Amino acid sequence: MTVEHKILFTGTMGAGKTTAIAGVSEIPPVSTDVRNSDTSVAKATTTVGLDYGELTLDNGEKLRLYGTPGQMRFDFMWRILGRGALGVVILVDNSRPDPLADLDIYLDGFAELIAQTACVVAVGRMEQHPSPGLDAYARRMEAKGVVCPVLPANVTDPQQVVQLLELLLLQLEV
Amino acid sequence: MNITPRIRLAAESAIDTLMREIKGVKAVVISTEDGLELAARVENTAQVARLSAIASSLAALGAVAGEESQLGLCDNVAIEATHGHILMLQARHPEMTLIVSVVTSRDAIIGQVLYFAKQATQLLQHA
Amino acid sequence: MTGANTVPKGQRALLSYSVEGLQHREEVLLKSLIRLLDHRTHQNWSWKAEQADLRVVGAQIAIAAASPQPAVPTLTVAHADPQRGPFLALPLHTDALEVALNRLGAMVVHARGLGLAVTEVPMGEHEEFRMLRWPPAAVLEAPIRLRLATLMTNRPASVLSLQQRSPATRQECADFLADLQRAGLLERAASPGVLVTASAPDSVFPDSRFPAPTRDAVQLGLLARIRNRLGLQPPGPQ
Repeated sequence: MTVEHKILFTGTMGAGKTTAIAGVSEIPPVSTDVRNSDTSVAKATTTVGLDYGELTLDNGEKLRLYGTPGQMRFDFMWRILGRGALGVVILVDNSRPDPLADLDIYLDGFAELIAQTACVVAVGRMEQHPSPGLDAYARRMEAKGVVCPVLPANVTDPQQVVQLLELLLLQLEV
Repeated sequence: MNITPRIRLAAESAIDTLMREIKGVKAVVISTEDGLELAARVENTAQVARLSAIASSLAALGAVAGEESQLGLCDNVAIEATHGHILMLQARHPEMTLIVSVVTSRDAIIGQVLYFAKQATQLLQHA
Repeated sequence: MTGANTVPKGQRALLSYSVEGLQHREEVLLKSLIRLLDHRTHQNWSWKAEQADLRVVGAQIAIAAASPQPAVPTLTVAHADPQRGPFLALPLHTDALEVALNRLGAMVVHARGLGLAVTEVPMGEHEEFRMLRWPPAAVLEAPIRLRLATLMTNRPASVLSLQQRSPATRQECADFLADLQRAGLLERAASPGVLVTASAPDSVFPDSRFPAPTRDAVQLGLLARIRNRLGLQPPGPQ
């Protein structure tokens, strides 16, 4: 049986989880997108199960990339997908009304995983929406006892997604 | 959510029927495919607080399983548990896809549950 | 007209300035201008209430009292030059301010290099520190610092342990920790205990006395394989 390793991507609807995985995965990503019925968010579809991508390592083992649904009502999926993960990348959309509150949801929802493994916070759309700034994010995390990298990222660029993964791996080095 | 009154009425009517007809029924929940509850009738409120979201995830995973096995669209997902059953069916109305979840005790007759649930789903699809 | 800062992406020195004896309106304008000039000045300047690297004062203060610390330069901002040293005329002009900051900044950096600057607490290279919060962008200008900061997110580190775990030089690690300290982002980790490697300072053993937070041991070689697959360099000294 192939040994499995996984990394999670989480964040609000439209933050770019599916895109991030698509940029790095060697297979076309599997997604469970359905029609979005929430009229307060201008997005046609939303993930209700998971996004899935994978990379094959040189010894045949797989690194699985999972995108979780973003809404809190799917937090059971966060728990299921989080089991045994190497770490989590939290994608935040700075164009939303209260991105720091969004961040809180994932810091809380993945608290145990973050404490035991690694976490990177990637803030998207910062160029057009510079506020809140990165220092505000750092302080918000500090308030929750979390110190982890927070940086701007455009996940449509696969190289930037790779950089996020690199920062995750760096935290796991003994 | 933008649910037309017609669909909403049809959902309520479907729930009435299922609660009445199915022996051993404990709850019926109708929700959107992205996990928001539309209508529900339950014996114990706490039971189904998240059933809508869970049903939507299961339905989506069922769809993936169906596709991967090249069996076409997933129509329903059935769960058999120690103390009962849960059946989740897709109701594909032209305006939106809904998920009908029926929770029953162990003494329910699966065939009967399926029959009435499918019938209700058909009616919903043509609302 | 001074050109944009063309220094390659190294880390600029992080300097602080205090303000005393200026009218409120002038102080607010001064702070805004310094912020605006950040992309051009040779050093990064941030305001501090006291014990700053540079004192900016109004004419009254300049005349009344000399700087309490000789190594801390004083810049007088006023309508008339009281002839007490560096001076900037009101109303403030960005070009003149930029020139003054660069000149005085160079002096402070030089003084630091000679060990004369304000609040320089020497840091032992085995001394372990915890990083309190992800640092602001100004502290992370040099790309290597992103890696160093990341290494500090999960456990305490010392100059030496950072050097062992990254491609950074000892000086880069020391400068990074010094900047974190100046920014109030460092806290001493609990007593380091006995230095097992006292006799072999460049030991190959990881220099941290503190266990990483409980986590299942990551499979040997897994991280290297993932790095390889993603086309990334290995993390340690090159």
